[in-house]
Amino acid sequence: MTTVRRLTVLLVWLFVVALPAPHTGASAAESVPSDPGSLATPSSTDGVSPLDFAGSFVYDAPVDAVLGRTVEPAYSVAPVVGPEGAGAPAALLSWHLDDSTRSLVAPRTGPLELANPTTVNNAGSPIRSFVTETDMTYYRVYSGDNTVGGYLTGAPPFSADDAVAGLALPPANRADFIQQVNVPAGTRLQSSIATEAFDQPGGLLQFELLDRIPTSAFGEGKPFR
Amino acid sequence: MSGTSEGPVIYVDGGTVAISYPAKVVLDLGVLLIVLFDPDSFIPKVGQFRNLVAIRRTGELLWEGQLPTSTTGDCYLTVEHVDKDRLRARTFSSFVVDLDALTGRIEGKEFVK
Repeated sequence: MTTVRRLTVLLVWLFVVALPAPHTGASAAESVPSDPGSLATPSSTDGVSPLDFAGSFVYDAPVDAVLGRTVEPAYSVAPVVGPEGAGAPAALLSWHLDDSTRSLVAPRTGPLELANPTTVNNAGSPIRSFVTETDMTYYRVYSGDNTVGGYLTGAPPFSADDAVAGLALPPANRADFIQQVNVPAGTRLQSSIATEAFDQPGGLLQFELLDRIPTSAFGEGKPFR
Repeated sequence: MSGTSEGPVIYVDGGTVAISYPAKVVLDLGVLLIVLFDPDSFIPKVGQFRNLVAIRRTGELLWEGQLPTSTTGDCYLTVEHVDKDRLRARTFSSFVVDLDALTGRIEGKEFVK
């Protein structure tokens, strides 16, 4: 019995006194000196992972050095204000853990909304996409030296004014010239009815090239006005 | 720079600079060259052809010109130097765009259909 008691006391002494206590995350961070070659330890007060982005990406535009001119980076992402408001840590392009719901949610911020469309959407129904099975001839109207482009008609418009109105052309295109376009077999096209745009009523059938074709497919322009 | 490249080249300061595709237009802006690759030299079924680039006279790529759309097959068709730092170019997607010659970034655009 005495031997058993001695063994018990020895075991208790070993576990309580002699062996080091297991580290918690915090004590480990405090006890380990910072390694200059490792990632910085996240602050315990801001609650932000070092993987969160809090600023903007910046490319050093190499041309600055060449020309001695300050140039805004060509591709940058503006800082995003976090859900807690201005000055709070931002979670840009990253998913984060929402403390209130304990679930993965996207950042609840406005700046990540989609940008406005870059083109005038004047394609009305019926809109159909198809692939040409044989070489086809289409027509195109243009102004100036704009001899290649992606919008065509299946038949020549009656007149330049008819083209401007029916195709809802923008002011830069007065349909001064008309050309034939030889669309090769296997080309994707989208047909639609031109809708009102640029103060023009639209209404004509138009075709948009969804595949690029060689510039040699665009024939010589003939005066149309 | 040896002049023995088998691919397309442009001639600069008595030497040659190898380029990725045949050039349709080369604009000499002094410290940099604006090169428009021939749009017919690469017609992808998927993706775009960023065929407007700026290179140093030594051949290093400075930028690829931004395109105004994400449309498949979009590329530049023409380019001209209209001002000190400004280029004007036309795209297959029927845009006329103004670009900053130092960055290749679009400064303005107009849809001409």
